[in-house]
Amino acid sequence: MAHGADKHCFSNLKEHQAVQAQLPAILKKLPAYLVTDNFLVKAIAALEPGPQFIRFFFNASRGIEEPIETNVRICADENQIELVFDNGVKELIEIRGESGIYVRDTITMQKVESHQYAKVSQSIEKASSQKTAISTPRKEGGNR
Amino acid sequence: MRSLILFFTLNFTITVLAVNSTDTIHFIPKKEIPFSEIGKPTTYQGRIEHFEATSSEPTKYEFYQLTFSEPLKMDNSLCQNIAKQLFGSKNTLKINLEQGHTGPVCLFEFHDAVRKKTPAHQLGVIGFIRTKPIALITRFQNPISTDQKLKTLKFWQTLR
Repeated sequence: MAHGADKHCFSNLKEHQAVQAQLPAILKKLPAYLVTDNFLVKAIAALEPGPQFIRFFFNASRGIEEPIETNVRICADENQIELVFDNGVKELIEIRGESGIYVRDTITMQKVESHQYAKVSQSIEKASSQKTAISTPRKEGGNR
Repeated sequence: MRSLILFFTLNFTITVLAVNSTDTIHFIPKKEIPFSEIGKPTTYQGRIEHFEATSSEPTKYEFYQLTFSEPLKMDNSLCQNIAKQLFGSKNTLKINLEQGHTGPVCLFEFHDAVRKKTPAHQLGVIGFIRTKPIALITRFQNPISTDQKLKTLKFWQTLR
């Protein structure tokens, strides 16, 4: 991270509570639900704390084939959030203002309430199921 | 203008899959699904769709082209190391070595407890195709049956 000196990390609910005061505004309160919803792309991201891990969920209307769902360790300073996955891979996310993030140099997502998140989530799932029905009409069963 | 050049570069660069299959498959390179790269190592190349999959058989696989500094033989230890690169060391993996059409093949599986909305049972296949180390990963809603493992291995046998 660019500003490692002020970086604070957590991997579960207890650790989050311990560093909560030092975290950027967007991470002070968890779960955090984020969305982008425009004519080009819809996307959702969730960070949900549990006793053992922080669950990360991401889905989008394009640029992805299936949702990402995994546990992460989170490190953050005032400018960036670093998601650290179990395999050691890191994803750097830029913080924009009090309640926004910039993901993969592509989309800006805003922190929202859970009902707004659920609405965008349903919209993505609906679009995805329609896409699947059009592209693979002959497939039934299988693993997904 | 620069945006236009970028647009054409992105849309007209062809990514070729490093393997073929005797079955009908479709490869979606990672640059076409950029968000799918989140949390994956750089060995991830994209997704393979297996059009001839029958019911209960996996239809989609994540495709990884692995790299080693020297030639290696597939065994439990190597399989464990590669699986940890893909999924991390926190997960308890169940590993089986099978004989494939190009030599020993490793099947590894684990249950990902954090998954609530997506299939939690993951199955990986690691082996060598044309001496290149390759990994495929697919997922199931329910605990993986012996039949599903055999069908996954059967798809592996179609790779050339």
